[in-house]
Parts: sequence; structure tokens; C-alpha cells
Amino acid sequence: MSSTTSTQVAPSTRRPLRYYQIGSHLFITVMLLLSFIPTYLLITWSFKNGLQYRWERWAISFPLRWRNYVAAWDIVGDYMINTLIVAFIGLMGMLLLSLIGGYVFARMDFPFRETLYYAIIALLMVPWVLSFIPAYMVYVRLGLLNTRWAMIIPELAGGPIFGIFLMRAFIAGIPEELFESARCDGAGVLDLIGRITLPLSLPGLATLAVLNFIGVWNSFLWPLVMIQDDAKQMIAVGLYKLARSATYGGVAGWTSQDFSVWGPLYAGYVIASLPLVLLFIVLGKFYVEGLVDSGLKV
Amino acid sequence: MHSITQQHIRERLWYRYQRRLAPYLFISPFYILFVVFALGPLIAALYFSMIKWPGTGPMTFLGLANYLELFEDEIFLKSLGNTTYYAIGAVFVILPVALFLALLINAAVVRAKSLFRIAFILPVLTSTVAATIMFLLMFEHQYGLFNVALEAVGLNALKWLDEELVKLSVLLVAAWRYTGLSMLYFLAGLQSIPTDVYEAASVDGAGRWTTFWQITLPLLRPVSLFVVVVSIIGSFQFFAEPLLLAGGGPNNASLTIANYLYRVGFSYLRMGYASAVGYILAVIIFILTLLQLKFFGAFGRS
Repeated sequence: MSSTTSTQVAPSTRRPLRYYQIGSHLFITVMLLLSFIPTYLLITWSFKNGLQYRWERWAISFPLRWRNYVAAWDIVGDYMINTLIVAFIGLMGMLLLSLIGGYVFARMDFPFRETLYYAIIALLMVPWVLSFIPAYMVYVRLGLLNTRWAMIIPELAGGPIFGIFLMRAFIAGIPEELFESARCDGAGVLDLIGRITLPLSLPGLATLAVLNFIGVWNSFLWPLVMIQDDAKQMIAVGLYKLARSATYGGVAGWTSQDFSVWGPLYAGYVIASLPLVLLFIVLGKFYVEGLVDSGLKV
Repeated sequence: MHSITQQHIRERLWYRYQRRLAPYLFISPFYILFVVFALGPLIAALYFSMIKWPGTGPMTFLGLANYLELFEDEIFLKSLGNTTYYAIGAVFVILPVALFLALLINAAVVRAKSLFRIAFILPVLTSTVAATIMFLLMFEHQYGLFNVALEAVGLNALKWLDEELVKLSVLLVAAWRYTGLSMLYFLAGLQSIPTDVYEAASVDGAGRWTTFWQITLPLLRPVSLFVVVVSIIGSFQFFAEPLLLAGGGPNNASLTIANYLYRVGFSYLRMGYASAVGYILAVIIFILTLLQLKFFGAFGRS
């Protein structure tokens, strides 16, 4: 099982490799266990009833209470569907805008190209919280308060900033000969984007998709002020409200004496984390590749 | 014949014109959205930071009064201090740990790299709210896991969410959630360093320590810059974790600038003042970013 990836430390045959190796594994494993504790508790608690939660808090209790998940889905299902709709539409738009923008800035030559490019890159470093209040007012003026558009538009207006930055670097790395030969065959710009750039920049797009999806899924402050209608609420705020109502107003501590509320609540948290985990399982390999191949080299 | 030529010319002109315009047409949808929903509000924020406006009714122009008030606003200064604490923690505690983990996982001797990589990214994939509430329960004084563990090894239980410790607790949650992500970035950077560089160093007799300082770290500079910038911006926008863990309290001990901005805007309904808070934040981040670019030498290379 020899590793083919680049070696960080060239192993010299004279060193007592074994101790070093054991030490490294031990350290990583301890860190891993520590980092796994909250996840372990989350999953364990999601299968407990009130009594099990009260008396066997740290261990896995049997029988597993699958019913918690049914109850949880009734509560978080709608929030998740809302978020998935918003994330999907926003993501598709964001990826399209980033792909086109990246292509234009990497492959086309036109006046003011650099100016236009640096105008957006300069804003890569701006924290959006800064314009939070005026942005809120713009959305209110345009009648977007309490609509899904209020969640989708920020993805389209803000997401491509990093997207174009990443895709430009990515597309610049595609060999020019490919485009040249396609042009000789009479391909137009749309063909060049759709038939050549798109298939070759999938890892970059996957990187963007993962980053953006994590962002939308955890987006909290914006839906908190923009969405008042619970039927349209996003998952992060939904979970927050849920925790507050389960603990009768105060999240802090054991204010709730009814221990049966916790199982379904945690089951809801587990369900709410699943889309991110699934996405990462599907796109995770691309995501890492995309990072290696593109943005981080610029 | 004459008309055909003219039409021909017109077509050719249109073709050329179209080709000239194409790039602008392609990027205009994004730029329109960008100007209306991102750049516009950003510029408007500067004006709003100089007015008094309770959310409805007329606006009163105040000039720099909001900014002057900020410098005497104790809660603002406290939130600025807290935010700085989180940013320092993120850069000088979380990032070195992330780098160290990335180095270990990338090392040739470590097996099952992909397993470790996925395992450390798991915290990022849990929902922020879920994770923070888990920690809330683990920080609980009497039954929380942290104190149970401390007492099990004979130490005194700590009041994790009291004024003295709450910032540390918030930082702990952030560390748990984001170390893995930064590690992934470092790992990506490490894997893009060609193996022969290390072989050359090894031939020259460079030790592990020398190799790290002389080769790995300089070659990681672009990644490091990226991760440091992202961490700092992230800390200055830090919102959900302190709010969920302690409501910004007790006694504003964990309050971040973003928490304060929200409170001023939507609880006190002082939209103008909140915008001023935002702009001060922008100036700070701008200066920090320039310093970082200078420090990492990004200007010289581009």
C-alpha cells in the first residue's frame, strides 16, 4: 500500500521511521476522535427517547428510536425543501455566470478587460455585512422581502465574484490548441464555452458548487431578516427557531424538563446535515482537485 | 449588384460589431446584478452612514456624527475587541493547527489519507446551528460533556459560558468547525508542490525542520495568503455562533461586530448608525488586507 502522492518529508532509511510513523498516526487519531465527539453525540442523541436521554446520555441506547426521524422530518422537511429549491436555482445561475465570466476574462480580448476584472476582484475582500442595511433596503424597495428571490439573488450577484476569479484561473490553464482547432472547425463562442470549456472545467465548477452550497445551507443572518413567512423559511433559521421553541424560549442550558423533545430535535439536525454530506461524497474528490488545479495557485 | 455589395458590407460591419460587443454582452447579466445588488448597496452604505433614519419616515443628514459617536460607544469598542480576539485566534491558533494536520496527513508515512481528509471535513458539513447547539449542551455547567470530562480526571468544572471564558468557548466551536476546511486548503497546496523539490532538498542534506521553513512554507505562500484572508474576513463576519451560544453575552463579552450591527439596525432601528458600524469594519478589513498583501508580497509577483 505504497503512497504515490508527493512526500512531505523524504523518508530517510536511517531514521527510526517506526516511532515517527506511530506518533503521527496517534496524534491524528486523537485529533480525529476529539473532532468526532460532537458528531457522535448528535447521532446518538437523535435515536433517544426522553428517558434514555435523561439517564443514558453518553452511550448508545437500544432500541434505536427511528420514530424521532419521522417526527423530525415533519418539522424540518419544508425548511429543507425551501433551501434546496433556492440553493439549486441559485447554484445553477451562479455556475453559469461564473463559467461565462471566467471564459470571457481568460480567453477574450477587449478594451477595459483588466479594469472590469479588477473591479470585481477588489470586492472579493469586502465583507458583505458592511452593506447589509442598504442591501436590505434595496430588497425591500424592490418588493423582494419575504420572497425566494431574496435568497436567490445574492447568490447570483455575489457568488460569481469568487466564481469568476476561480474559473478564470482554471480556464486560462486549458491549452489554446484545443480552442484553435475547434475554431478551425467553425465553432462559435457558445460552442467553445459549452463543448470545450465546460467539460474541462468540471472540477472548478464542483469546487464552486460545494463552497456555495455550504454557504447557502448555513446562511443565517440574511434569511433571518428577509424571510418572515415560516412557510418560506430557510433551514438554518428554521433549526434555530426549532431549538428555541423546544427549549421554551431559552436555548441555554437544560431549561426544558421534558426530555422527549431532544430526540426529534437532534434527528432534525442529522437530517439537515445530510445534503451537505451527500454533496461532499459526490463532489468531494472534484472539490479537492479543483482547489489544487486552480484558484490556490494564483 | 450595387445593393448586394452594400448589404454585404453592412453584414460584415454588423459581424465585426457583434464580435466587439460579444464579451460585454456575455458578462453584462452578472454586472447588472452585481451593480444593483452588491456594488450599489456598498456605495449607498457610505451615504447611509451619515444619516439618521429609524427605518421609516424622513432621513436626517448628520455628517460625521455617527462616526464620532462610534468612538465613544463602549459596546461597539467591546465588540471590536471581541472580533479582533476571534480573528487573532483564527489566524494564530486555528490555522497553525490546520497546517500541522495537513503536513502530517500529507506525510508519506501516514496511511489512509483520504479517510482522514474526509473525517476532518465532517464538522464543516454539519449545519452551523446544529453544531453550535451541540456545543451549547457540551458546555453546560452541571451535565455538559466538558465538565464531566474535567471532573473525571479530577479537575474543577469550569463555567464555559461565563464572562471570562465565553470568548474561548466560541473560539473552540469555530476551531472545531473550520480547522478541517483550512486543513483541506493547505493539503491542496501541499499536494501541488512537486516531489522533486523535496528530493533535491534531501540530497542537499536538508533536515525536516529546514525543509519546512526553507521550502514548504515559501511554496505555500499563495495558499497561506488565501486562507489567512478568508479566515480574517470570516471572523469579521462571525455572526451565528456567538449569537446561538450566548446571545452575544453575558454582558456583551462574546458580542461580535456583526452581532452589534444587526442589533443596532434591527432592534434599535438605527439604520444610519448601523451603516457607520459597517463602514468602520470595511476600513479595518481594507487596511488589514493591504497589510497582508504586503506581508505576503503579492504585489511584487503580479
